[in-house]
Amino acid sequence: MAQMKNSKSFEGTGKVFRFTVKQFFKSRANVISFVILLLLALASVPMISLFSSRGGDPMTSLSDLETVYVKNGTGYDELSPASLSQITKQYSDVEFFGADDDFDETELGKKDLLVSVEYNEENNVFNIDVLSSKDSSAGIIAKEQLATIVRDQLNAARFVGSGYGELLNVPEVSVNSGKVEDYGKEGKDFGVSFGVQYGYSIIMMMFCMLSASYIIRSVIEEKSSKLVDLMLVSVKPDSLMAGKILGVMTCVFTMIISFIAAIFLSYFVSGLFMDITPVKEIITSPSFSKLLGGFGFRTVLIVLVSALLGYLTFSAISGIFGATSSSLEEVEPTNTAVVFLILFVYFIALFCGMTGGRVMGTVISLVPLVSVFSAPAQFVLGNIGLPVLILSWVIQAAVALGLLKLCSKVYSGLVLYKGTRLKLRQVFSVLRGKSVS
Amino acid sequence: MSFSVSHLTKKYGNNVVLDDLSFNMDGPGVYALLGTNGAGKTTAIRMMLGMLSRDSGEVLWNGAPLDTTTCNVGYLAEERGLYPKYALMDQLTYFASLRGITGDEAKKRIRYWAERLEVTEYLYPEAAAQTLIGESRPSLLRKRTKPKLADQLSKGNQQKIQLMCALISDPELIILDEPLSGLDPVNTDIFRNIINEQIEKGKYLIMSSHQMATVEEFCTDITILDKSKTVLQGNLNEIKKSYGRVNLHLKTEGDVSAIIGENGALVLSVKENEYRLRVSGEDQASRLLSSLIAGGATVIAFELTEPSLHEIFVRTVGGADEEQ
Repeated sequence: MAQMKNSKSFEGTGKVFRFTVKQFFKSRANVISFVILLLLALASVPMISLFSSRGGDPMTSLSDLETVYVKNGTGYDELSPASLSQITKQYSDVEFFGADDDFDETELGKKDLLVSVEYNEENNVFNIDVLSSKDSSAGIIAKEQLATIVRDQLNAARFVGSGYGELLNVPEVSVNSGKVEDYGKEGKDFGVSFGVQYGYSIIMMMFCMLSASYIIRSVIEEKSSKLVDLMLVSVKPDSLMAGKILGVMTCVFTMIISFIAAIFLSYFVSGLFMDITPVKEIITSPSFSKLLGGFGFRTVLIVLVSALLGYLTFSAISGIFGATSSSLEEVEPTNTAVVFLILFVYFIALFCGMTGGRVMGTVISLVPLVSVFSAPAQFVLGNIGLPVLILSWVIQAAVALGLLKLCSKVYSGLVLYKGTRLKLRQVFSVLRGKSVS
Repeated sequence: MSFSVSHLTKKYGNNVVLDDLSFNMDGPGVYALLGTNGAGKTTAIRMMLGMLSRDSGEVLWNGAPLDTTTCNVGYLAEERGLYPKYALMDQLTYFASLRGITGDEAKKRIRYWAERLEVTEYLYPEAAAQTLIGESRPSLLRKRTKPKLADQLSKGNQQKIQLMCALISDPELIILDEPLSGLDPVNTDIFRNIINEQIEKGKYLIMSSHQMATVEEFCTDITILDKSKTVLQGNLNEIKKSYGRVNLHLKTEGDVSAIIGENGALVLSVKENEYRLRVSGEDQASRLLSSLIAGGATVIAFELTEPSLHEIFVRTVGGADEEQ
């Protein structure tokens, strides 16, 4: 079979990419959606603060405390009771005492706190836990102040003499706060697992769905508007699809990053003008703290790599589905099919992920598609280590690459196809190199 | 330069949609691909441009496989299409950039073609709105200066924008699939002038059309396809000559039906003493003229011509159908 050869099969990708991004942000509908999203993000912190009942206690400052017990499992002298007492002396008369492994947390008084700093070797993370008694009058601000002081001391201690090159390998710091009776119970683990798995996978689900719908609409619109003939003289199908996928990725990433940035902005600006204690309580909850992971460089890197691989995987699937359709009436059914697939995989990740456990965590981190929604969450929860996470990425990258090749082949084979949506059998015949009329 | 297509074949399962198409263009000019609906013209064009895979055959430009990287091709597709909701200027700039024309050069060319095709008011609405200075309704001015979208244009004007896309890179090889379909007479003339201009510039044009009169005006060589097969091919003048001068246009003062009947010429149509006749050749025509004069008929018009492309097409395709 004679085929035209083109050594520059990805020539034009950059031009398609630029056009896709430019038109995305020129679309009035997209701009309105973007602005609404930003407004919602900006309003989120004040709204939650205004409409939530205050969970804090009357005692909201470190200076209101009487005693802080320090369980220092790190070996750093900077975290000894004496050192911490020195640091807080300037604005507080609180007394610091050491606590050993036999310390009975139930003995904590109303104005007492226990701060425990441990290094978890398996997950390469420092855990800072700030605990209060059941009837404690210590509020979230006091706990937060204490946690911040301890974390700063810990960082100061461990980064002394550390070069930039070592930063990638330094353990992260995880800060948790809560009440003694809730701490260490089975129910707490389930809550944290659910929170982390739910939080991460719902963000990924939204990201994948948003991207999928844009890609499907873009592919079908181009086919239905009969533009493809004109395009194909100048650019190969591979470049066309690659430019679209990269363009939509940039737009959706921009939207989501702007959304997150707007929430941060809202948090910091609102804090200057109003009491945002309810939001602070949410942020310092164990599951949320784990999910944010202190926003360390490594967490951000893990989330970005995982999001990129997840995006490429579902973009390729969306491209394949889009290529099998050719009229605008088919945008909705095609989109629904991809949404159902994403939801199906999301629920598997959610239900298996929240049950916890290392075996289940490892399995769902390695199974293609499901791993998109679960691997980073399982890593943060400590159910998988870095080697399994990297293996998961390798598998995800291989699957994404395979799907992108498949997408390219299906798109090239069906780019001029006009008719009803193809059945799976016909798609396979296209993959085998047969033509579909 | 040369353009050559050899043994192009395409099948969908057992259904052959193009069967062994071959032709050559050794010099500039217009080559016409003609055929009934579904004969395989658009499939052939898409295969030439590499948009569709080939079951066999090759397409060469200057002896090398045709590719957009080796040949500057301009293509006006049969299925007209533009992004309906994007600004026209954005689309033209985009298509120009895909053909390697960017920046000021792209702007210059877009301006040139906008003026040639008389679509400046859609591409430069702010300039058109200058005529409205003094307009008391600002909302109307705003509306008039807004960038125009493709779906705000008539079909004919959309077709002009598409022709701009095809010609923006000043291509060496121009493929026009049904270029004049759906155009009004004024716009048809604009397109015809541009096509003639491209021919004068020494471009290679491949044209597919149902409008035989248009094709006849431009083309030198033709291929007629019927049900995926080549049924007639060659130089148009030679093909016409091979049919002989058999069409006779006759106009007289009075009714000469009886004389025509005696002569044996076939009457194709008659309207107020104006006859369209089919004769076997120049001898029969001369005999008819002699009989008319001898019979005292006043002859106003007597013109013997070769068959038109339209007739050749109908005869060829009809003949092929009858054979099957």
